[in-house]
Amino acid sequence: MSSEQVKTGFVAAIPNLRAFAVSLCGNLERADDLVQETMLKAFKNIESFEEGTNLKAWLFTILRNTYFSDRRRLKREVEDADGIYAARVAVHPEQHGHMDMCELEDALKLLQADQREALILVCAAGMSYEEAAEISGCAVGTIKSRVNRARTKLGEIMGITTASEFGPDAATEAILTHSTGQSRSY
Amino acid sequence: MTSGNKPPVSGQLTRKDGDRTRREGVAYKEQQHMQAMTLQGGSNSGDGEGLDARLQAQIGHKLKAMFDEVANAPVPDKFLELLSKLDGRESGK
Repeated sequence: MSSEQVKTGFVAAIPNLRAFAVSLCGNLERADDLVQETMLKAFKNIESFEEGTNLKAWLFTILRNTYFSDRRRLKREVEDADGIYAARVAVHPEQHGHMDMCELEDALKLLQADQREALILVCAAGMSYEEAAEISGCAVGTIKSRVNRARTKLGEIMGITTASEFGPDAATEAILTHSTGQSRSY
Repeated sequence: MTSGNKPPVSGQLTRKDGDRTRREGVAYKEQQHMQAMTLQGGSNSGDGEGLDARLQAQIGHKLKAMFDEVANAPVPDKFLELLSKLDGRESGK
């Protein structure tokens, strides 16, 4: 594979790599670092890329491996942060006035990382179950069950909120009245 | 929303004007589900399929929208500059 071809393939993949990275880590700045690291590693290991195979999937694999190994390295801090965050959300479910993009991002952070990854690959990045399995290095059945669990969990997290959009009754009205309409911006 | 020309999927919906019946059925189910939730405070009790399907569809749309928002954004120049640098190094080998 000529370096020109590699370059063309990379340029085409960058937007999706960025979107995948943001969905994984929830932070654009960190996502761009991940993409940059992915590009460096990809060029360094371009010999290990089999020509004719899926370059995008290969790059996604490098990116998620980088993300998960960083995550393991920072495991304690990450877990602490997640724990505090989860607790905060758990005691203030009424703060979610309606389902918007911020709320989905918040809810995604409450998922297990492997489930979040599977969900994003299949439901957002448009990967097949087979591609997602290849990228995550696991069986197709594992991806399917992760996606299902992620969907169920997201449904639980967001269910109460969304139900209120179908026409507030006394109970949801009371919740909405107490809502602070809090939202987070990046 | 589903197209009106689509044949009803399940056997019990094959009554005349099946699609309308189905839509009303879903709305009724959701209403029932809301009542169940109000009474029991749970989100998974009662006839929840209509609501769940709708919620899951919404989640799917939002996920895609969130992803596409970044995927459709212009690529920062720093990436293209890095690529040119890496490419130069690669072909200079």
